[in-house]
Amino acid sequence: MTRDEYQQSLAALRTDVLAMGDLVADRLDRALAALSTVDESAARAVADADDAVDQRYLDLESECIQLLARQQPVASDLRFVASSFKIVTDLERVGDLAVNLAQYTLAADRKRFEEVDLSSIGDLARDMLDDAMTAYRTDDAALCRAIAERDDELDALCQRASERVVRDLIEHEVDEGDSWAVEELMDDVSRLLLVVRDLERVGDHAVNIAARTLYMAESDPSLV
Amino acid sequence: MSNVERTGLATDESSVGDLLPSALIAAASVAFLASWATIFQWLDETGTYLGVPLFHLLGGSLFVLAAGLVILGLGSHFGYIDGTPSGNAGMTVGVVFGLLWAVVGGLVAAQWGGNAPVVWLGGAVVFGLLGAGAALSPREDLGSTLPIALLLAMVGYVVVAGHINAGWTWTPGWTGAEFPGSELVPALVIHGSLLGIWSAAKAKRGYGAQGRQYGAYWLIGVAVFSMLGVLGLLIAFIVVQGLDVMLTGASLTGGSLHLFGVSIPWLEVPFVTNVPGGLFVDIPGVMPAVLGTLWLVLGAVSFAVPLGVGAAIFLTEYAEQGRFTQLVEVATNGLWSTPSIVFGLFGLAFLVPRISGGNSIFVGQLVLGFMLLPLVLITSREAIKAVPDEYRDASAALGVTKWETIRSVVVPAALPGVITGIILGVGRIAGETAPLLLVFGGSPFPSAGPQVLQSFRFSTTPPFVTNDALLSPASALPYQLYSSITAGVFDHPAFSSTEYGWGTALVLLLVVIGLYAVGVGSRIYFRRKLHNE
Amino acid sequence: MSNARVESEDVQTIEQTTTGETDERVREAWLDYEFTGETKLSTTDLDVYYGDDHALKGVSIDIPAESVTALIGPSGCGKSTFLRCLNRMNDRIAAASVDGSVELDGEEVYQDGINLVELRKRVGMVFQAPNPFPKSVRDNISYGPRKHGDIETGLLARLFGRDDREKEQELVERSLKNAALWDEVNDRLDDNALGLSGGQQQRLCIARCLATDPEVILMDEPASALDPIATAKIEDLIDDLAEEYTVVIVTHNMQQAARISDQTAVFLTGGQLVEYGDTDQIFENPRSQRVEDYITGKFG
Repeated sequence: MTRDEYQQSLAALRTDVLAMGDLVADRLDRALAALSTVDESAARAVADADDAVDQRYLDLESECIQLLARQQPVASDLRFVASSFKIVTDLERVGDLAVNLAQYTLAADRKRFEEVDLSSIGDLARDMLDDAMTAYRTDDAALCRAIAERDDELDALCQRASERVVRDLIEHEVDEGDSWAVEELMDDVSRLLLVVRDLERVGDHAVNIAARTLYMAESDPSLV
Repeated sequence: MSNVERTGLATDESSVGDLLPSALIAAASVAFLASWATIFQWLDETGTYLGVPLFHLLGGSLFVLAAGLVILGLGSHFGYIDGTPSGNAGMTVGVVFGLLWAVVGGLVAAQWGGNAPVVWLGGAVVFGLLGAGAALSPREDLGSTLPIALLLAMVGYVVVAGHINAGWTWTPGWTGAEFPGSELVPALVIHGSLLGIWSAAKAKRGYGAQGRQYGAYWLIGVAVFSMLGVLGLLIAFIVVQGLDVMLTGASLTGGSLHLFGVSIPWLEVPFVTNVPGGLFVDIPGVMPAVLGTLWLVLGAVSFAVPLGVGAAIFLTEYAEQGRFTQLVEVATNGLWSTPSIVFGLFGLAFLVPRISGGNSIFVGQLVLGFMLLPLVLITSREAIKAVPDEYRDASAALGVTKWETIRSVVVPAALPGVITGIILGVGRIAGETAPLLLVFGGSPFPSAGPQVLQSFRFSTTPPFVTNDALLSPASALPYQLYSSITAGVFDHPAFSSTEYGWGTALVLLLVVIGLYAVGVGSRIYFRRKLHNE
Repeated sequence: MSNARVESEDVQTIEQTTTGETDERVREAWLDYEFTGETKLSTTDLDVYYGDDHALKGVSIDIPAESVTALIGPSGCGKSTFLRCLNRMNDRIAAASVDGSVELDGEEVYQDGINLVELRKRVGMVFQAPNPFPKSVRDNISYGPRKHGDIETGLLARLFGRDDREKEQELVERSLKNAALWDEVNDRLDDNALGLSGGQQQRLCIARCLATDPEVILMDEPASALDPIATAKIEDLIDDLAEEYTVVIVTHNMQQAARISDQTAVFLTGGQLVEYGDTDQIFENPRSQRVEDYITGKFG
């Protein structure tokens, strides 16, 4: 086939993006696991390793720019490079969110609000991310649309979780004279709400990735 | 890594390898020139120069050449002299040396074994193969020097030892020819020195591809020099013989030029401006002949050029390239190669009775025009074909018709080539004598020039225009030259026939050069217009 | 790289892509392509044979007025042949025979009795290698109008009371300005055109083409012999020209086609028109897989 080097560059880009996806998914996994088992050392490991993700992000960005400058891709190749460019941004943000999660673990006291089922939310978000990267790997347009629909489910879960937290807060009996206890309660509540929000965001980023992938595969910008 | 021999980028300047060949080339050139001088009798072959008889000098030079070549060959072979010789000396050298040795072998065998073909043929073949073998089997440095050195040494010895000298002649039994020594020795030295120059030049640049190039350069240079020499000799000879005659009675201000009623002192060259005969002429001139030549050229050009250029346009642009055009090409080439006397005969038999009843300028113009036509046709065709198709495409894309394109783009672009053809043709016909003898010549030394312009008469009956002068015979320079030198019919106390002839020749030369100048000038003008950068 | 007509596994055959799929689904799809504006040139079932060689197969295409249409495709695919049909330059090739119809503003070009001079006045052409005449710049530009009788100068004309020297000067100035060359050569209008640089010569050829006041300008790879800066100037020029003229440009440089054209027609090996549409659409999401493979360089 002609333009061997070009074809290889395109394949390498795809591989690299998938590798970054794997890396970020792994971070997210660890953060979620640390959150549920309250494993402080694991959480610390995730929090400190963000630089690696950022570096990957910068490398991939420059890889895309180089491809554009040297090879002037057109048609499907152009859509592929442009989409990959945007997808790595979303991946990098997911990486940052995983760090956030790890930091909550370090700071929070999980003894309260055990009813709030963070792990199922986390699993759903994690699955959406996995599926988005799979869709990217295989140019699967149907999968992209399915992910978009599941986002509604994730949003609903997060909504319920937040309501639950707020209701519990209202029902919680705190000795109002114990100001330290009140502060602790407020911290826990706000932290929990943030965790839920961040998990929802992971889902949103997964949907973004699916949207760009749909454009890449079928030139369909409807999800973007 | 390839198996090509690697040699250094720059060869050392080994002084022997550079100076010796230069010295040899110089010596050989001197011998070359001296031999030519001997043939032309500028050097006396029986005389002595520098205390040595001439032939001994010539033979000795061959010896010197041979010795030098041996030194060069062996020196390169044993590594004392740097060079890049090829594996063998090459086919050309092999064939040339083989042939030379074959000739020597055949002669020697015939001389000592009798005239039977078996003997000299056998001797020739044996020696030829030996010579070729000696040239081809060793490396180039030996192969291109030793065989020829041996040959040169042999010839040199034969000459120096007096076996062949000025008084010697050779009448071999197998032919009635005689080979006089006074001509044979210079001829041998000429060829020998050429071969010596060739080999020495090759050696100077270290053999190999560079050496062969340098050798070829020298050979070609000698050829060019000889050609220029011949040309120079020719012109110089004519000038030397004719200048005195032409300038007889000439002066810078003796003549006068009449302009607007005022007389200005001007050049006076009576030989050119006078008529050849008549009562009051002290210095007979060639004016009528000059006029006759100019009228002939003018008539031939005006007849041949429109016809030739037009035919060329038709053949290149309009006719389909096929049988017809090929036929025309063959016919044109045939016409171009026809001897001029045949054209004269055609004119005499066909044109003269129909047009003028006797010799006339007009028939002369027609015949010369016929001779000029094929050259103009051929060169115009080439010039038109050489105009790039892009111009025609561009013109067509602008919506311009074919004829307009030819008129405005193709012909102007082809004009320098067409003019070259005309210049060449005019040079040829201005000097043609044979047809003039048959159809044109009247009295070779008329007392007045042809009064063509004054003789036009118009009438109301066909052919409406007559010109008695055009229909009468006249004289032209080549015709006059022929008459005075060959027939010796010139009769005037001022010059002898021969002297007058030389003067005429010089004037003819000047007229032709003048026509060339006009042609070349106009070509430069048109070329500048085309390429004005 | 193999000769485009020789079979090799890289070369698209008419019906199949490099991966062996048949491409029937898009054979007819793009024929519905519609554009705004009127049609300047249109061809219907145009076939061209060079002897036995079927160089162009049934090409039907409508070219819109006052825009730039690019014809792209691998070498030997017939795009130059197509271009030359539009102003009947194929007539000059003895072995060429043309079937089908070409219409300029609704009038058939290949009818008997067509006035070739008029046709080529209205449809001008610029060639791949600049080919100015060996005359002065001024004479180059006024050559066409002169031959058409629109301009007469010179002794004979003045004798008849007609002196168009001012008209000529104005025409020369206008054409050179339209070709973005006026500033560079206005001080050497009488110098020989061959002394200009390659890019200037090509713009001179464009100016010469504009001098006959055409409606359509056909360009056969006009910048392929030029350096990048000269190419860029020609591309800017084409952009300007498109406001007044209909430009049809053949190019083998796809990026150039993408940069300057409004519509692109893709020819593939064998003289077949495979897709035709808006340039944006062709280069972002072509409907034909074969075209996609060609422009992404998967085969050449």
